[in-house]
Amino acid sequence: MSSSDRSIEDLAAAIADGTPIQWSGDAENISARQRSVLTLLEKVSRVHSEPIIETQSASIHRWGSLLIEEEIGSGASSIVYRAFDPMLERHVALKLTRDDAPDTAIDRWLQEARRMALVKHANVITIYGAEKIDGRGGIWSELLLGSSLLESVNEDGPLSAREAATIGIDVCHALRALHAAGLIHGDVKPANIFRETGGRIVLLDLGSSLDRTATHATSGSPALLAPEALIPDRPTTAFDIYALGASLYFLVSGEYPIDALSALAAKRVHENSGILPLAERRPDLPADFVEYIDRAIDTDPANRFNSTSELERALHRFLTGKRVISRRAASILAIVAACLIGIIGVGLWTASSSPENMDPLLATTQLESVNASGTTRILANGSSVSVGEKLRLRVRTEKDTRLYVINTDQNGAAFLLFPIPGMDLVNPLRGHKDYVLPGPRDGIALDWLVTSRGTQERMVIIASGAPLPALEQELLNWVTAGSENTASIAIPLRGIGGLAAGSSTSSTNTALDALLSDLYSLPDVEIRSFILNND
Amino acid sequence: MRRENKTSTGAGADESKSPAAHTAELLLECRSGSLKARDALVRRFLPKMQRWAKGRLPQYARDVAATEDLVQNTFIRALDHVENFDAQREGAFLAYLRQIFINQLRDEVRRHVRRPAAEPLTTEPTDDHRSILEAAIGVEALEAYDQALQTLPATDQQAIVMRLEFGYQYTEIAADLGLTSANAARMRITRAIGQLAKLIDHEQLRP
Repeated sequence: MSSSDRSIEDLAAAIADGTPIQWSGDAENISARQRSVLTLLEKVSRVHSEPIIETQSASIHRWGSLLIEEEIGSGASSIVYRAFDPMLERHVALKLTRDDAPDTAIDRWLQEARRMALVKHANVITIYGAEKIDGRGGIWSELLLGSSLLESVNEDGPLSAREAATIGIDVCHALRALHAAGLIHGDVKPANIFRETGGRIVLLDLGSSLDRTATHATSGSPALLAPEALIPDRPTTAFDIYALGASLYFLVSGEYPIDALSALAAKRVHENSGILPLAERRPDLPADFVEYIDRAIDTDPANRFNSTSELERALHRFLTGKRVISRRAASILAIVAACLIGIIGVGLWTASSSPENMDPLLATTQLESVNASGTTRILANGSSVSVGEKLRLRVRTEKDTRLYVINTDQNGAAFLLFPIPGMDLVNPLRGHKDYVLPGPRDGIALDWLVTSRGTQERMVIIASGAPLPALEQELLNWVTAGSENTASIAIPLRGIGGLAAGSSTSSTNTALDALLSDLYSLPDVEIRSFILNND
Repeated sequence: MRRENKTSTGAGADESKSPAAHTAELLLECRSGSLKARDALVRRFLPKMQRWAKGRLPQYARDVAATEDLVQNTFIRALDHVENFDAQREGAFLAYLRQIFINQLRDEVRRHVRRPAAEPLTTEPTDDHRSILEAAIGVEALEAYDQALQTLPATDQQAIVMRLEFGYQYTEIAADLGLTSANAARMRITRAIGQLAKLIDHEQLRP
């Protein structure tokens, strides 16, 4: 394959991935004709993936500085519009109170905006602003493309247990961020869980969110309300755990645990017939998944998961299991990783926390590559890397953290990329500091280097707030990158079929998955993985 | 207002059934005359088609009603002749709908252009007749793209349309094409895009 063909293939991959084409480096080998054709294809993709930008004349009317374009949803007290912000030249979702909304309702809106603004998380909708204009309250936020899980299930039928569990984990992340801010969502339901095109899961509508310190009135959707939420009292995180469990129940069955259109009806159902067990609706579901959902929606809050972290770990256990990874299971792991792209891609890393207390983030990470011409790009799940590229991981620690970076390939080999013996940087990394991994050796900053081509590689990053002696012991037997080539400024990252640094015992994906399975159940441990294509 | 609609299509209740298998089943049932399957197909594909269609509609026809009319006519034509449609895959059905829509749109634009009887028929669309896609890449470039796409093998066409135009995920495309992994779908699409780039008539691209 010529360098020109290789460049076209790389650029075609960027178009397929929806990432901007970088007209530098190898791309300089291609002709003007090829460049114009590829630019055309990139534009075709971009026009279809962006919100349709219509002319100003298409606007219905203005609200403040925003141009309202079309209604995209409505509720009892509000209407949601797609709008255009001409100052920032971007589309937004604008939620307006209805014309007849009393001032008290509008005040609640502004409180909602303030609560929302407290939470910044990849799985929680981002609020841009809130205002009261001409007697109407409004909140504007990022405009999401995709569909709610209510729409997905209604259109396409119930999901598999694995897909539901993957989504459940992301919602656990979102709820943890809310709970850490002292809030209870109060209305977790499939209509409020949105799957963006590309797979990002976003929790919407904090309009029913409750202050944990205040007594609440009954609100939220009756069919998903925890029995204790029907009685005014101080709200707890158990409300949201129940509602998430009920939402997952819906995702796999198309039905809610109870059928109730009012709080009073819900109360009666709980007092009389109770919840229809999930196993009766879907006897084909895996028993461990059903057990976790049943526990999440137990009528007694004391029997539910103690926290979203505990529920998340259960869902992880269900997804990974302690079994040899089959081809099918391996592809499922890749799907899990794909769902994490938004988190890794924007450099965020959500925290795992102790069951009751919401710990701060352990670390924020961002994987970068630098090509031969010195161009840096941020790598996300599914990104391509090629021979000669250098990789580095930027880390911002929020507390003392032990960090491990592992690279595995489809042939089953696993290699330890950090920590590496002989390097200046060792665990634990100190809190509230910025690091670039793998770090320097004898004061000279080093990177990982892609030394050969392969197919697909998984990068796994493990962070822990506490020592992990079992992991440390296991890693002693693993191959580390760059144990030779000490004069190089780059540490070789072997590609599949290429150079394996060192000759000690090779590790396997199976061993890694067994290790990860154990780690998922530990508190104060965060694990993220994503796929890099090295074709 | 309670927006939940508890009606499910029924299909998909089997743990192993994917959306792709669901579409295949609906198409088979539809060919057997099932009105329920016909409704389910429309529910499944209507939102995708409506969103996609907005990029293809001329400015004058870009309001909600016009979009819905054209897309609904597309479904009526497609489902009235569904017995002529052999494939059971989602991508193939989507490409089938897409082509019907494009043909219908061309007829519609021709009619609109001819409407002012006193004016000569123009071959160069005015701004009012240009779609968002045409405005972004040029009328002739879009024509060149559509023509080149037609010359690719059918599955490559469908994979490109699913990914670039409808925003399907690799996992969904892999399931629809019977590929083993998302990465295999990505590689297939990458190669198809490379092939398409070679087939596009460069002369039709505006500078």
